[in-house]
Amino acid sequence: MGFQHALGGHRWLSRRATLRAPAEYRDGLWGSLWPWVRARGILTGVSPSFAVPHPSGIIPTRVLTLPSRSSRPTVDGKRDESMAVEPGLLPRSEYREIADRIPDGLYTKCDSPDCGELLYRKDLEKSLWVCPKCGRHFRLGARDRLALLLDEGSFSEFGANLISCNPLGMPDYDSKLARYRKATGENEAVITGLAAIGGHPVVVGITDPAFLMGSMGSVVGEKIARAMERAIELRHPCLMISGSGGGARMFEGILSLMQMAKTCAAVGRMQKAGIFYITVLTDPTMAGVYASWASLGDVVIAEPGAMIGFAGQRVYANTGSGMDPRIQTSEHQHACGLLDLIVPRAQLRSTLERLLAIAYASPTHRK
Amino acid sequence: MPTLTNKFVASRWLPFEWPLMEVEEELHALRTGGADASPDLAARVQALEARRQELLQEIYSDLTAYQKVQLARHPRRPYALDYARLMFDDFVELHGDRRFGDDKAMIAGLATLAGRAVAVVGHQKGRDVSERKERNFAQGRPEGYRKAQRVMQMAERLRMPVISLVDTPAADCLTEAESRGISEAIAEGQMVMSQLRTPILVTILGEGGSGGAIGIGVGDRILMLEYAIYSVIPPEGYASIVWRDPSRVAEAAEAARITARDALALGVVDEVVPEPPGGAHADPEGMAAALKARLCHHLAELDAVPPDELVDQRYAKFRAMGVYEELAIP
Repeated sequence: MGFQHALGGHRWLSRRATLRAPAEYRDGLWGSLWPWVRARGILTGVSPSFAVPHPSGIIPTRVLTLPSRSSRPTVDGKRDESMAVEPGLLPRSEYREIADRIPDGLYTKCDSPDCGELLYRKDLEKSLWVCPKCGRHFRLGARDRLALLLDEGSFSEFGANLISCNPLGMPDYDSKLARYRKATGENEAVITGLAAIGGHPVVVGITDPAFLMGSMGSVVGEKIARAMERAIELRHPCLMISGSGGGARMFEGILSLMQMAKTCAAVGRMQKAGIFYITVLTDPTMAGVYASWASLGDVVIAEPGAMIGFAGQRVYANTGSGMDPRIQTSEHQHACGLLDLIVPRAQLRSTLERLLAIAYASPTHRK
Repeated sequence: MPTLTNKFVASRWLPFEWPLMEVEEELHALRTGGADASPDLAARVQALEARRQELLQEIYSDLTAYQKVQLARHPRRPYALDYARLMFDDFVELHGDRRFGDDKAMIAGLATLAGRAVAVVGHQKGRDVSERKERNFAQGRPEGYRKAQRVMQMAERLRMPVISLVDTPAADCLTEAESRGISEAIAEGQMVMSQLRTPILVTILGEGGSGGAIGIGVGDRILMLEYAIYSVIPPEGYASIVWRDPSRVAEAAEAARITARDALALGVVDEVVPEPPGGAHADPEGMAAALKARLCHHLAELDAVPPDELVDQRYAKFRAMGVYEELAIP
């Protein structure tokens, strides 16, 4: 038990864990105690809260209202059973949906299957949640990512009052929504608003993989379309960041498919109005989201190593054919000419700043 | 009673159609002189005809959602090229996206509908094994969607309305399609259609499968045949994701709300075109005539709308789709 607890209690982690003491603990008293510490899982209790300064040093409005992560995987005081599936049955991404939003405890394991390095949490924070060994970009919650990218205090949110209904009367949908609302502290899988990057105003939207896999239902489609219309109205560039592995939200049936058409139509309007549109594809960007607003950017940027593609692994499982996971990556999509840039997390803000500066030098935008 | 001796025949009838098949076989035998011409021949034919009508009424008046799914995928269901042949005075198929290749899963062309020029795009399924393979089971590839976009943009320049005939289980999602940007092609298709300054009539003929369907599925009027389905995920996928049990597909068809009636209730389609008794495959000519009449009716309506207003109306139409609640801001 103890060993797994030291890693945050995830069964699947224990498979390839190679727990090493952090450098400063390897010698002296700590060094001699280490095997015992490891065996007893004592590190479980050492979990620092998320009150440490954010790695970016930027703390925009509301970002600090994030619930601490330890409260996230549990709903009503117990672990979310629907997520507790055996490893191997589901893509790991599903399993990680809530649990891995922000790594817990003193250590976390690099979630790249080829790396698996155990990383000291503070190092990881300093590197903006990028594995220093293999360059794996960890998934970030939407608010955390906004904190990395936006000017401090510049963000004002649109439409946080839009709430999903259950138009098809799907049996589990309401309870799932309630659970994810509680777990993430958000009303929906997308956050939209007006913000600034390097002093350049920009209408921004971001989908959160921690909320129902960032899937697009009526509310997500509506908020994105409204944000784009707002960008046209304000004549500001528009930045959309996708962390949507779920595509169109199955629970809203055909209505979610229509959100693809809705958001594409809104992008069409922006193009007609000469509004500059940047999309940033983060891990994961799939299916209905990639096949609508996410791939229509004037400039399409991706994070390194992000899973980007059309059909999810389960679709291939159903058809009995396999998909080489290397195909659905930023690097492959970039090589195929489907993305403009692959930008590491540390340089994303400055890249966006440069692009926005160029956009504002065009006559179609005004501050 | 005739028996199911011929596997091929059986495969062309759905299990719930078997009673009908037996009557049809018997009728066919009588008419082609398989039975000797006896004086009561006419009476027997008449009786069988009556029985046939009775069965049609009985079987088709109260179909379950899954039976509709089966009908939408019926091996004898008319496909896009059948409608092209039956509805249009003339139809010239065009090929290739001018970028990469020609996708046989997607047809595109120019035609005349009741004397007026139209552009046609649509998915095409295959009738037999080799054609199905050639048509890639109507799973469009990026070049197919780009071919459709090319023809639609041409239609805009030539001021021809666009007729889009949707019938696909899903878009192709294998490595090659992925590498050539199937997602981008579908997204671009929706955007092009949302901005097109000419009327677009979309008809869901059989399967309206998710992204593959919406990639040519944005228009001023969305029509749907009575036994067609329109879904974000096929019932098989729904069952395996929600219940992790692909065998509960019939239940999933019901729960996922994918029939024409559901789509109409949800405001996703504008009109359901009734099918003849026995489904579109029982009377392809009658079905095509009925669809043609509805298309002409809608075209006449849309002719009166100036292009700018048309685009605005289309935007507003899709903009309004979706159900959500807006809480009062305190």
